[in-house]
Amino acid sequence: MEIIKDIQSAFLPELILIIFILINIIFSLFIRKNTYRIAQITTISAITLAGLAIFFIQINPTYLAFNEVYISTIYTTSFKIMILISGLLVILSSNNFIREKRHKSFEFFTIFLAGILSAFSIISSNDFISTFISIELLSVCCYFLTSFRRNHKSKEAALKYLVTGASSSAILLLGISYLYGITGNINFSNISDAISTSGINIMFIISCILIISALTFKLGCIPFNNWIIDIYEGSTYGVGTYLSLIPKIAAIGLISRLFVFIFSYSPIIQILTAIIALCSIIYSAIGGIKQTNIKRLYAYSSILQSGFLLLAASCVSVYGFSCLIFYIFTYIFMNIGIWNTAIIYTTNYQSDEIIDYKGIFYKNPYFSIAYTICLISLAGLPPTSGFLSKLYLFSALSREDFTYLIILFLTLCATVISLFLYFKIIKVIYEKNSQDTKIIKNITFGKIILYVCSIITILICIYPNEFIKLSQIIAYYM
Amino acid sequence: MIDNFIPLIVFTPLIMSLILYSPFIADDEKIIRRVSKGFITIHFALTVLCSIFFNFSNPDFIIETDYQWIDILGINANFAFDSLTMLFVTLTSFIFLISIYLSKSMIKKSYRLYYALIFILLTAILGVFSAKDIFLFFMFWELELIPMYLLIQKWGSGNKQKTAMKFLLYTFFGSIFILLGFLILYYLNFKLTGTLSSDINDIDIISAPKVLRDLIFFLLLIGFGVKLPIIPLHGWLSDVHSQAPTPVSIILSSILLKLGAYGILRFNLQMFNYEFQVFAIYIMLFALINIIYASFCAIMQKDIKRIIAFSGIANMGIFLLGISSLNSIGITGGIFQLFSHAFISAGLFTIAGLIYIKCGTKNITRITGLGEKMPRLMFISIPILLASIGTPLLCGFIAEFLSFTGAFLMQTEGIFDAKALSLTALSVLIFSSIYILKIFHGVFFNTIKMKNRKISDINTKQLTILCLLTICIIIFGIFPFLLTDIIREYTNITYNPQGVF
Repeated sequence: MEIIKDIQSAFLPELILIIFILINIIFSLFIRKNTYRIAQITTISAITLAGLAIFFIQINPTYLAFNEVYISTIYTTSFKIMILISGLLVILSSNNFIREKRHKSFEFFTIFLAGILSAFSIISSNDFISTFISIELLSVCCYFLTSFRRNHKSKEAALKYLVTGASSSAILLLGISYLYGITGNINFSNISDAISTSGINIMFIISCILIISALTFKLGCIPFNNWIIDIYEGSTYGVGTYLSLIPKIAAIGLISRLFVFIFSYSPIIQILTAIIALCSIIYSAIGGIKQTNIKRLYAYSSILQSGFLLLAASCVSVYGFSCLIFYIFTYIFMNIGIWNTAIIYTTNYQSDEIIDYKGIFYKNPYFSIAYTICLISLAGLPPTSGFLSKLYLFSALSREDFTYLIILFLTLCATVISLFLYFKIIKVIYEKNSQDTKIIKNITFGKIILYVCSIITILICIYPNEFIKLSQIIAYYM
Repeated sequence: MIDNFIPLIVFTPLIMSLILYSPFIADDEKIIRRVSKGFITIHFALTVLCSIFFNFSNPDFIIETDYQWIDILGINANFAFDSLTMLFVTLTSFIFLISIYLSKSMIKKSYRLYYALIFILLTAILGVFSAKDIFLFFMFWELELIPMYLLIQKWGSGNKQKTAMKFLLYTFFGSIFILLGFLILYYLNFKLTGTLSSDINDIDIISAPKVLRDLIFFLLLIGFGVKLPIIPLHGWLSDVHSQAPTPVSIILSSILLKLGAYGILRFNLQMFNYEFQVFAIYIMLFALINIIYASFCAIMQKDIKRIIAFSGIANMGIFLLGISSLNSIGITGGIFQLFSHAFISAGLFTIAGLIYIKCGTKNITRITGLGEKMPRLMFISIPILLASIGTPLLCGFIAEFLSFTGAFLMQTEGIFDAKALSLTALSVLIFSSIYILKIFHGVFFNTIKMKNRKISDINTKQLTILCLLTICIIIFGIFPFLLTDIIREYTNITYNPQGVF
């Protein structure tokens, strides 16, 4: 009976996802027609049901399931909700793209769901074995998704991702084994207890650095970023959206939990993480300036935003974590907005170059304004949620010690440079193009998602109170 | 009842810009222009009505409205109009009225987007003036970047793309200093008082360590100094002013520079009064550098808009000189200078813009002898140009006179003597007559060079706009007490001046 109670209290959404993955696989054996439509319906219903099931799991007090391997708190649950929201939006926004490219629909959606499942278990795992396995599962899903486009670039990207990802997993495993060697435990709370009694030593710091390296690889931060740009360029837009959200949210969720349990014992790790974050912000702000391909630019933008996320996680405080949650929540909508625009545009005009967006404002004013709002939000200008989340993040940083004040100043300087990256697109959109005026049509559904995202982005800025209050409560009960 | 004016004045332009883009209004040039003109007229009437109801005789009088924004962090959307803000708000609405009425002859394409952006800009500026919360202030401060960027990069002239990006990066670079200062201020206030609040009136950091107070003071001074501009931070200004479309140049020089001045008044002078007193003489030194450097630059320029832009920097130097004197007369003169410069520079840029659209060039060596072709423009530009030089009975004179008197009367110790500084600045002012008369002489006298170009005189509407500005210049020149009384009362209770006159 123990296992039923465990499933009911902590594992219900995951169970639903597993069931629907199996349903998808079974359907794929029998159905030959309308595969896309059916697969999409099953996936959306899986996500919806998992979302409903989240409200039945136990969050207060914290529930430990399966011999303390699996944890369920309000913090993990909030991350799961954000993963589900982004998963749903990714599916809806990549609607036309997947259909027109004639993907093997069932396989695509099955892997998609498996990715969400593994992201769930990364966030919830309370133990290094299950963490490692879930990270591997997520990575495998990402390798497959990257290789879904049938061309040379996609295959190259997938292979590159596989090789670099495998080496990062090896590093993670090495770090875990060192930590096991020091403490004799793999459970987070037990390791925490062991460290607090024995104190830190050099081996502990090395193992922490190894683990942080492997996890920041998944986030795509400096200096482990060399995979991310080519892989974004090689994969389809739908997969790009997926890669920029789900692995990132899962990785940052795990990093923040590890910070609470393990890394917080050594302030060196905290500073190191902040420096990694700062370096990624500066690198991507400068590196993005020269880009002409929209996917590569988005890749730099995603490095930039993961830098901000890591910065929020690195100030280990209630304020920092609540800021992290708020940042991710706002990031989902603006990110979906910009990727969705690219999806809509590419379905119409088959072009990845920024210069081809020239003058789209004149025939598609509302579309362009919505896109501009998302870009402005990523740049961190008002009146958008991106402005507030950055303001909140900076106010969190200003509460830390003097080192963080310097980091804050450098981050602000990098934010100035990053404006260039986003205004590069805005500049092109509003430029007059007399030769051909492009009308974007046929994609009402994608446009609706874009409008919804941009409206939410502005609404969060006007009514942020409840969201920030909620994020503070979540961080407080972490 | 009067409190309801605040949301009505601040937010209706934003709603108007949404209405302009809604499907209800047809994409027809005439309709959009008429709707915009009608709206800005109503808006100006509203601000005038509000200032009639406003009790200027009582310097403590204030109207305010509070809204919840981020309650949990103590950040709220509180707006307030005090006497100074009320004056600035009326000025803003007036300048926008002029610039929108002028837009018809200057803006030829994408007028729908143009008017929408202008209205967003109006909301941003009014928000900065009326915000009572530091982060709200900062939000409106940043909000003004986006419309400004698009206005310059779409309707500008010359190398407009680069200029727009320059404006964006420079101004944002300035605002990170403001943000950093505000964040430290906010957190320090939390540490000292134990309450999370970012309301300007609630912030109390008197007991904070001196070094931190100095740090915040300088961060804010640098941030506002980019906008004002104070000399080493002025790189964006001349390019942006000369390459922005004329109505936007008018807004830039008449209102946007005043945002920086307003920030210095509100934060550096009011909130950090003690620090300002300590560093006043150095600020005065910077003011002197502003006046000298900008005057010399203006003499060397050939682009007519660039000359006016540099004269704007010199005029902001006079403002800085006035307020750094720290006595009632000087501060009053400094603030009066903001208003006088707003009218004068609006007039000057209108003249420059009209010459540009008639002649197709801004180079004063190529524009000569317009006097015979454009007698109306020549006649109406005389008082505006003279006011810019500082001729008595025009408002420029009053501002300069009060500022320099204040600076001269300042008591100082140490190596820099305020009397010497103010006298040096005064003697440099002779250069202003050189470059202004150079414009007048070059443009309107001599023989005409552009023989084969058909140049017509300005029409009645444009003449009316210039007349309106001239009337303001003359009225505030002859009856300066209309403004100075209000400003002096406000100064005496707010800025803690050393010598009360």
